[in-house]
Amino acid sequence: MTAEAQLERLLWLIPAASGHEGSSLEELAAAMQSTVDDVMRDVEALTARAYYQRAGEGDDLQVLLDDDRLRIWTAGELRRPARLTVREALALGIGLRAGALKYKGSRAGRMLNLARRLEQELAGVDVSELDRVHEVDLGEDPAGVRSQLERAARDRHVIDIDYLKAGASAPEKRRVKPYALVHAEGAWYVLGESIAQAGAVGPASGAAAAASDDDWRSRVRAFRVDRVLDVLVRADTFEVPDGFDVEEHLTGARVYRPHAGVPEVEVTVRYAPAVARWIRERLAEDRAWAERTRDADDGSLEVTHRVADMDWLVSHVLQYGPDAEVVAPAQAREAVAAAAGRVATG
Amino acid sequence: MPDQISKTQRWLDLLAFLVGRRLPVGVDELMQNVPAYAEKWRHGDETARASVRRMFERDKDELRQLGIPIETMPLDVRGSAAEELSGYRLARRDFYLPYLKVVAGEVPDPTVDPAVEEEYRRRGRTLDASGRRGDPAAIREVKIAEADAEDAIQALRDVSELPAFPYAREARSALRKLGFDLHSYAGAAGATAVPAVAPSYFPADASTAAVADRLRTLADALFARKRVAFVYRGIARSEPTKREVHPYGLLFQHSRWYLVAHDTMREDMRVFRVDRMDYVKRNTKSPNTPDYDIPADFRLADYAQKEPWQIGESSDAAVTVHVRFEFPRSLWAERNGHGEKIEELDDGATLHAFQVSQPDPFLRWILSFAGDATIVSPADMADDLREMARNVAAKYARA
Repeated sequence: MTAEAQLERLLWLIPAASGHEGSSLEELAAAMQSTVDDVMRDVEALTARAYYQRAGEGDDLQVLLDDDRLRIWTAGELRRPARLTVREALALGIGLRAGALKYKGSRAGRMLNLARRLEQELAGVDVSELDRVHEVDLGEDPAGVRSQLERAARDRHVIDIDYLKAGASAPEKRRVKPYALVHAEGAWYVLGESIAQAGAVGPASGAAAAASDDDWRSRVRAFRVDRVLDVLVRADTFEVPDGFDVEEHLTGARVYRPHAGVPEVEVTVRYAPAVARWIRERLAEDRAWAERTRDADDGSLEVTHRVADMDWLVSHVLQYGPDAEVVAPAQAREAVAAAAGRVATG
Repeated sequence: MPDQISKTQRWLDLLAFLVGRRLPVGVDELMQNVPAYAEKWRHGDETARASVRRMFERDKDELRQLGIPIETMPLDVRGSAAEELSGYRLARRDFYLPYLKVVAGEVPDPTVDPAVEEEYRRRGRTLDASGRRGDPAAIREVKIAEADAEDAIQALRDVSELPAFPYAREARSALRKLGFDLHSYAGAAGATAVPAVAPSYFPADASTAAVADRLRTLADALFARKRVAFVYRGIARSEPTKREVHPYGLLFQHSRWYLVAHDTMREDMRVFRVDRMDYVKRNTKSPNTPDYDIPADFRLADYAQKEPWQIGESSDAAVTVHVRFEFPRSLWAERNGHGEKIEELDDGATLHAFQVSQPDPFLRWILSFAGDATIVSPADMADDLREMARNVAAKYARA
C-alpha cells in the first residue's frame, strides 16, 4: 500500500474510531471495503508511533484495542475526516451531474447547484475546470419513472406498473416487488418478483398463485425501465429474499435468464463482414450471447443464438439492416421478412 | 530510530503537529518536533540538517498535492531584526471536512460579492456564507437540505458502482467522509459503508478491468493536460491505427466510456471508445508542464446525450427527420422523450422530430421497430428507409 493510500485510510480511521464507543474492526473494515487484517496494519502504524516518540510526546493519539473493538482517543484534533480531495469532490460532482440528467426543470437545476456548492464548500477548491471535462450519462428519466423505481427498490415498497412488452398491442398491469435496478447495454432494468394481481397477466396467476414463498425465484423477472410507462408505489413493503443474487439473472453482460416453461429456439444469424468485427467484439465480451459460431471464408460470421422472444430476434436482426440475415429456422426467416416487408411498403 | 519511521507515520506526525495551531510555526520549531526530522536537525551536521530540511520540503509538497493545505506564511518574530522568516500553518478550517448539518426545507445559495469570490477562487480558497475569510481555527458548517443529502449520497453510490469509473476509489472515500455526518442516509451496513446490495447494479464484463486501467491513465492525463498515444480499432477502418491526441474529456454513455479528444495528426476533434484502445500511454516528459490547453469554449455536454447517430467522426450538419410512432409504441416514444414530440395523431400515434447527423445508424434504428415507426419526412430519407427494408426483404425472397 502506498503512503498516500495509508494516510487517507488513517485520516478516516482515527475519527471513525474516536469517541467513547469506538468502532468494531468489522465495521471499519466493511466501511473501507477492506479486511480486518488491513485495519490491524493501520492500527499497528498508529501504535508504533509510541516506540519512536519521546516521553511526553505521542500523547496526541492513544489507541485502545479491546477484543474486536477499536477506540482512539485524541487530544482534540483528527476527530473529523479531512475535507474532500479534488478527485473526491470531482467524483461527487460527476455523480450529482449524472443524477441531474435524469430530471428536467427545477430538480435538475437544484442538483447542479448542489454539485457546484458542495464541490466548493467541501473541497475548498474550484473544480469547475475539471468538472466540465468529465461526464457520466446514466440516461434521462423525463417521466420520473426510474427515480420512483429506485426509491421503491431502496425502501422496499411493492409497485404496480403499466408495462409495454415487446410486440404487445397494449400495456399490461403488473404488481412487482422491485429487488434491484440494473444498468446494462445502455438500458436500465428493474429486477423483481412478479406477484399476483387481479386482472393482471403474469406468471403468478392461476396455479402459481398458490405457490409457496420458496418459489420466488421462479417469479423473478427483468423489466426494461423504458417500457415501464407508469408506476404506482404502494404502501405495502417486502423483504428481499436472502438468496437473491443479481448475477443469477444475468447471462454474460445481459439482463437475461431463461425461464422454466418458456421455450427457446435456436436461431442462426449470418452477419456480413462489415459488422462481423463488432459481433466478434460483442462475443468476446459476452461469451454467453451465442450458442456457437462459424466463420465463413468471405469474412462473414454465423452465430447461433438461443431465443425465447421472436419479437426481440426480429428487432435485433433488423437493427443491422442488410448486414444481418437469419439463416434458420424458417419461422424466424418469415418473421424478419414480414417485418421488413411492412417497412418497405409503409 | 528515525529509520524505523515510515513515510505514513512521518506525514501523520507532521499533520498532528501542525493542525490546530492558530499561529504559523517556524522551521526550527517544526523540525525539532517532528520525530523523523528531529534527531538530525538537533544533532546532525550541516549536511544532515540540509537533508532533513529537503525531506520536509518534499513531504510538504506531496501533502499539498494530496490536497492537504499546508500554508507557507510570513512569520512575525517579535524582537527580531527586519529579516522576514517563513512559517507553516495548517488551518483547521481548511483541513477538516466542514460539519454537514441537515436542515428541513430548502437551503438558499449564499450570496457573495462575485469579485471577492473570484479572488478567493483564484487562490484556491472559498468564502463562508457571509463573504468573510472566517476564523482559521473554526471548522465551518455547511447546511444541506434533507433531499440534497439523499441526492449526494445516492450520487456517490451510483458512480462508485460504475464499472471502470476512474474515480471509484475516491467516490467510496468521499462516501465514507460524507457519511460521518450523514450516516442516516448512507445505508444500513454500518455508519458509512456502501451497502452490500445496492439498489443500482452495474454488471462488469470481460473488458472492465482493462478499461479501468486505460481510464485511469486517461484521467491522469486529462488532469495534467498531457498528450496521450494509443492504438485504436475504429469502426470505419479494418486495420488498427496509431493515434496521438490531446484529451479534452471523458464521457460515459450507452454503458460505454468515450474519450473526446483533439487528434493531433488529423487536426480535428474525435470521439474514441475506450474499450477499442490498446497500448494507452501518457506523455511522461515534463510532468508538471501541460502539453496543451482545453479551449474555454469546449463543452463536453455537446458530445453527451447523443444517440449513436449523433456521435462519431462525421462532421456533417444535422438534418431534421420526422418520425411517426404507431400506438402503443407512441406511448414508449413519448415516455422516453425520443426526439421532440410534435403532434398527437389519430389512433394514438405520435409524430416526433429528430436531429440526425449520421443517417445510416438512424435508419437501422427505425427499421428495428419493424413497422411501428416510419419516417414521414424528409422524403429522401423515407425512401432510403424503404429501400433498406426492400434490400433486407430481398434476402428472404431467395430460396
